[in-house]
Amino acid sequence: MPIDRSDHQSIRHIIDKSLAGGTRALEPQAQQSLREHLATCAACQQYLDASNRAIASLGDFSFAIDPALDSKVLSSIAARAQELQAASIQRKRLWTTSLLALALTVIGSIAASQLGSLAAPIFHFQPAQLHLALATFWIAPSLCFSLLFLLLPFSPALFRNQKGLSI
Amino acid sequence: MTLPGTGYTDTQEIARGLRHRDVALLNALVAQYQYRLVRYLIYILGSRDAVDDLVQETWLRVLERGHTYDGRSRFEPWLFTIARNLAIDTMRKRRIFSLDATEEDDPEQPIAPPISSEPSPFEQAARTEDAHRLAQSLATLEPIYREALVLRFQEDLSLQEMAKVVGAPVSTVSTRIYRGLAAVRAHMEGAEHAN
Repeated sequence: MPIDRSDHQSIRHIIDKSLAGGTRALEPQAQQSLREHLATCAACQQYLDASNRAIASLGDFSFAIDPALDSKVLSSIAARAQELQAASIQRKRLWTTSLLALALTVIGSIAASQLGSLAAPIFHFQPAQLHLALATFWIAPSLCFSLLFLLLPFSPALFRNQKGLSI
Repeated sequence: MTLPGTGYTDTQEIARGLRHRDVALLNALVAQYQYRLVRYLIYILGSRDAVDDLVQETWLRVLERGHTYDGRSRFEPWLFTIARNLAIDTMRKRRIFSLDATEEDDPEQPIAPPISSEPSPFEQAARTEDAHRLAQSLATLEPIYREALVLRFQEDLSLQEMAKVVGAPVSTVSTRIYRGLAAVRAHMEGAEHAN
């Protein structure tokens, strides 16, 4: 009795599925059906053999590699690693400088505020007036200046190397 | 797997080394994966043009973005993902066929790459008679099917790993493998009958 064509198609689909995902991709029943069918169907066995042969042939290629490629890659990695390291050090310095500037701003502002409170009566100023002047002409500019260091890494002019590439 | 000269034995250690931009580790990774990376890019591009530049760019990207590799999965899929994205950018700039656009156009009509009179890299690399037959098929096969074949049958990636590399569902990856295999099998059978 001729085998239904759909059996061949489903068997070949099982073959494709097992090749794509490995035999673990097949349920035990599918594996059993496959074994039983292949035992009696030369066409499907040939299909499997052709597939295996094509897969095996994929391993019969040997692509030549330029002998200079390895050294080119390694030297570019070393150069880039140095650039990244230098950029990292520079960023850390900027953070440190910024924090130091911020600390000095706070300390200086407290000291100036204390001195101002003492000096205000001598110059006939109200303490509030002196504090306002201090905030406007000392604290705000100092704060902006110290925060400027945090924004410097985003400045394109400062953080480009000689080739104009971003670090 | 132990990377020679480094003592790194597992993916977590590779991840740690990449986070610290360990140049010795990178050198060992280059020694370990260079050929496979070249092969993968040849399969995607179908030619040797730009492969060397892409290889160099891939390793630089590994150095710069090593902190994004968490070591929870194998290193190969992460490496091939980087290479793939760079290759796609290159193909877009050169206006070559895309790795992702073809299936939406007409999955039954593989788009053939531009015909060149030079032997394809597959023909140059074939070492057996079967490989020579296969080379003719590979040279005209769509990149997405070539890619599926090399990742599954040469790199031994699982379907899930392949899905992550190509950014497609597992079902799509499986279909690409079936179609790629069907194309090369048919070509080899045809060549055999002709002989």
